[in-house]
Amino acid sequence: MSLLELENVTVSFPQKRGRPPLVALENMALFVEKGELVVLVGPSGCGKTTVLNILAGQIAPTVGQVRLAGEPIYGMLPSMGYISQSDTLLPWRTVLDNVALAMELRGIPKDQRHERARALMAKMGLEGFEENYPRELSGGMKKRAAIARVLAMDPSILMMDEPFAPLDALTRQRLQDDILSLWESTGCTILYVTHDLTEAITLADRVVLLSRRPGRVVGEYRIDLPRPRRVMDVKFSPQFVEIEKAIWHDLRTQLEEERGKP
Amino acid sequence: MRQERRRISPGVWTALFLVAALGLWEFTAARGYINEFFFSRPSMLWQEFLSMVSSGMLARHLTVTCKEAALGLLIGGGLGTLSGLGLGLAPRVSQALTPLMTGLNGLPKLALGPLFILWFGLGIRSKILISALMVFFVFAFNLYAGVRDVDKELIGAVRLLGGSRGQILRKVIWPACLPWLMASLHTGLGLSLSGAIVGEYLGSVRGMGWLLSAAGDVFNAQRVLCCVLILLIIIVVLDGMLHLLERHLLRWRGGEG
Repeated sequence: MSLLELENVTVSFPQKRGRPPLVALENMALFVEKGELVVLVGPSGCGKTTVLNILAGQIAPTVGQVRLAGEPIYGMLPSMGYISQSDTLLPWRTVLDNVALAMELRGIPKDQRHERARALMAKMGLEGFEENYPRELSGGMKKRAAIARVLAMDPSILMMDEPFAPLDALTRQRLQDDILSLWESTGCTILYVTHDLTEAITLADRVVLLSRRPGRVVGEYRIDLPRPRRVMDVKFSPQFVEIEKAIWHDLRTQLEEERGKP
Repeated sequence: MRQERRRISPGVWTALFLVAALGLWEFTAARGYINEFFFSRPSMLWQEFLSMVSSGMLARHLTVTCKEAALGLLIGGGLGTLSGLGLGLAPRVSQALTPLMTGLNGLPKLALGPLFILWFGLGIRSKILISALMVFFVFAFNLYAGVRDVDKELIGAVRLLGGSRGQILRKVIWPACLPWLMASLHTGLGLSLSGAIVGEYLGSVRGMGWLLSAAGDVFNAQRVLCCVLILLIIIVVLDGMLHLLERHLLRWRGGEG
């Protein structure tokens, strides 16, 4: 039994009158083991985000089963943290109060949650910015704060939806390293969505390739690069290049097949 | 090191402009270029002010007007805020009620004044009502716009962190609406005061509006101008205090406004 199971899942969204429903996912199967770091890759609009939203309990599948540790998922999981592409820190709260937000929502007393939030901020390299407001932080720091905010929930599963897409290359690389060490130290399960193949291979235990809409799994690749990994070490290893070549090959075949279709 | 030239603050400019205007007024009146009877002059206004203070007349009328305006702002602003929030949170209801609200807001509310005085008498209650009605729509429409303007992604993110509906309302929607509330207060401050004064003008036994009306009836331009200036100063001071409060409450927005 896997930790997260998506079986024969189809998701379609009703359209305006007269148009056929929009099928986002078709007959999708995905299994994620406990402690695994799985990266979903695919062209934009292929339903990657829909997969995360189903697992986060935000969308119910039209057909099929979604299970967590064998139990069907209804609604939101308390053990799950979600990090999206956009900046969703509350602008009227200091960084400390933003990081402490999830604990505040659970009614944890102020002293306790602030102590924990300070520790998490230190862990994410944000000491000294406790009393600043989000607008005073750089894009990378805001992202770190968003990660710290989610870690305060002690999530056993992290869902990340193209979290670093809007950042510059250097910042993105640093944050990828942070995610790697975070995952290595906590042993949580991560489901990560990106359209960047290099990022996918750098992070993943397993890369899952999705097709164009309607999305379904067209390939899975186990990434056996040694752990612990660091972005810079991995990027230029011959093994990395080989894996990347193989995936690109499949991607191209798939694109050509599609072009051949009527 | 080059030193930046010291900038003169806007407040200093305002003061300089005021002094110049008052000086010109005093000078032209003293030389007889303008008629003192119609236009008075600053030194005479000052004398008038002192006599109104010492006779207790100013305090007696000003407290009534301020009380009316404050209660009007509180009641109209409170109900307007609640209505705006409610309408923003219930799209179905707002679709049904918004045309009605727009229509009511379009009415010249002061035209209803005589009716209120008929219903609620010459006392303080009719003035509070007029004042409240003047500010109600400002708050209702602003807060309605505020709720609809809240970033949906912030709401989604807090829900994913485990926030309940009530928590989202208190910790996301309400703080996001605070700038809109402050803007409403700035507008409402002047409106509530004019509502009270016009109400007194229409029919009352005391208040700044009554004082203005009584002085006007006997062509006492000096007293009318004195009252108008006092009201002007009160509004400027209160608005300044509101700015300080706003700077504190909205400090997260940084340097703007």
